[in-house]
Amino acid sequence: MAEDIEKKRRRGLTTAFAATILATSLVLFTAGIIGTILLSVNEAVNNVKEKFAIDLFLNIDPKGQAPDSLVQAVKSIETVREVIYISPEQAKERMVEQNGEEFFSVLENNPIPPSLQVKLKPEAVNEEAMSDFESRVTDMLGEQLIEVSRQRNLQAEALRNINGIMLVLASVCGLFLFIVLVLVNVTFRLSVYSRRHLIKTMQLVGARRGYIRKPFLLQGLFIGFLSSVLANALLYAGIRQLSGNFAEILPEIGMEKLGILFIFVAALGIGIAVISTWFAVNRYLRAKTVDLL
Amino acid sequence: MPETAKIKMENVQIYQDKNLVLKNVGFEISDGEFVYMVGKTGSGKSSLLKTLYGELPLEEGTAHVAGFELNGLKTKQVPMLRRKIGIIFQDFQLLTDRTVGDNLAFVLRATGTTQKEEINKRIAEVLESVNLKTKLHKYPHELSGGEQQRVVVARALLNNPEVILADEPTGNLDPETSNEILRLLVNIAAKGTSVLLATHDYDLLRAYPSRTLICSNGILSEAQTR
Repeated sequence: MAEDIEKKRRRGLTTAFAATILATSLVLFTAGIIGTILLSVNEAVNNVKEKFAIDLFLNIDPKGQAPDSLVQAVKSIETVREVIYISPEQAKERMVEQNGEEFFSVLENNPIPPSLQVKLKPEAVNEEAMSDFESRVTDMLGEQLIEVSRQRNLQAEALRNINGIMLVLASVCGLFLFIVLVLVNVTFRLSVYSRRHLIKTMQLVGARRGYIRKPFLLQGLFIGFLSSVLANALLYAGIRQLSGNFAEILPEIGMEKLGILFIFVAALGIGIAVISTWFAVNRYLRAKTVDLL
Repeated sequence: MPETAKIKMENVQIYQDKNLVLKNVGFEISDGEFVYMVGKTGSGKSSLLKTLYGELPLEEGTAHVAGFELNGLKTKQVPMLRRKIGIIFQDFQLLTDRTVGDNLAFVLRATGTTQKEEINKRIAEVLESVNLKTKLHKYPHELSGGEQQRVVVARALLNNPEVILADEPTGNLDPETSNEILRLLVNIAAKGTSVLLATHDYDLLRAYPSRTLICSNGILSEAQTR
């Protein structure tokens, strides 16, 4: 009889423990999905931004060698990602591709000057940084530069749209992250709440607060860690499955960024578990016996 | 405080939350003295005991328990006070997730004993003193009410307390088991530990007459048992 009760008690404890881990894992998995969505969108936005080009038309001999020194000088600007020299011939080929042969058939000479096609790092693709680049490159190249050309209106419009989408997405993700924090916090507070009388009994026999807190915090740490591992495993499996089946649609997230995401999920899980446990235990350490009922 | 007085209160006002439940409380309990505190439910017995073990702050008056001055007692001093006193409750308050042995070991570890042999030896001693040597590996729910309360008495004895405070220790027990627990506490007092026992069971007073404090109409007064 007593053994049955003990078995039931142990089973109950195991179930409660497993339920806490499962609930925390699922909530952290949700946080991971939010992170993955943010990373994917950010990757897609970066892909778009990387296509934004600034053309520097040069006042140099059109038939001469590629101006390596100029290429290197422009590359030395920290916001520059890529610089390609485009000779008048290459520019003509591109134009013919875009507009057809007729455009040049009426001209005796190729009027396009040599140019440098510059692509900036994604974080520098915004109106302020691009204007800053323009003035720096104008000062740097002096008379060797004829004109800085870019599709100002189109780029500004695209950037406005991107910023709008990112703002909405960040707000939604922020809200979901807040929900995640609240859910994990509630899970751990409930876990401590169920053992509030235990805390009071420990206090009444003369245990110090730190001594009482320690096993609760260690358990919080363990549950947070285990839940993070489970959540990250689920997340990794999900990402692999999706990137295998929808490789053409989904932008590829680098392993480095995924690693940061997994660390973020683990830190979130362990952090909230320990902090929530800390506050919940402290609450019951301060509470009077009558407040525990 | 005289050397032999283990509990002393002077002009103490006992509050429960913001309500004054006992006023101008003054009494002393000497070394090895067994004292009852009687009164109706809500008369302030438990609040007085809670003040003595640091659960409620001492707002007015002066009080000493087992060498600790309760006026301005800091939160971090409370565990040290509780190591000098043993507390016994009506509802036992054992750690339900561990065995009798582990309940007792927890108290010893929490109060600074680290040697396993020392812990085992002390547990064996206190369990023998309450006649529960065979229940070491039982969980609280595997014991009867009387046995659980005897474990609580054993727990209270672990650190050789100077004072035992018992709050309705027989409230959940049948008369025969209540007598057993009371006999145990009287014997403990006879060995030199001061015992203050709050109860509203007057049969106990008749069975084991001793000095009695009465909580009534917001006042604590002395009574002489016959």
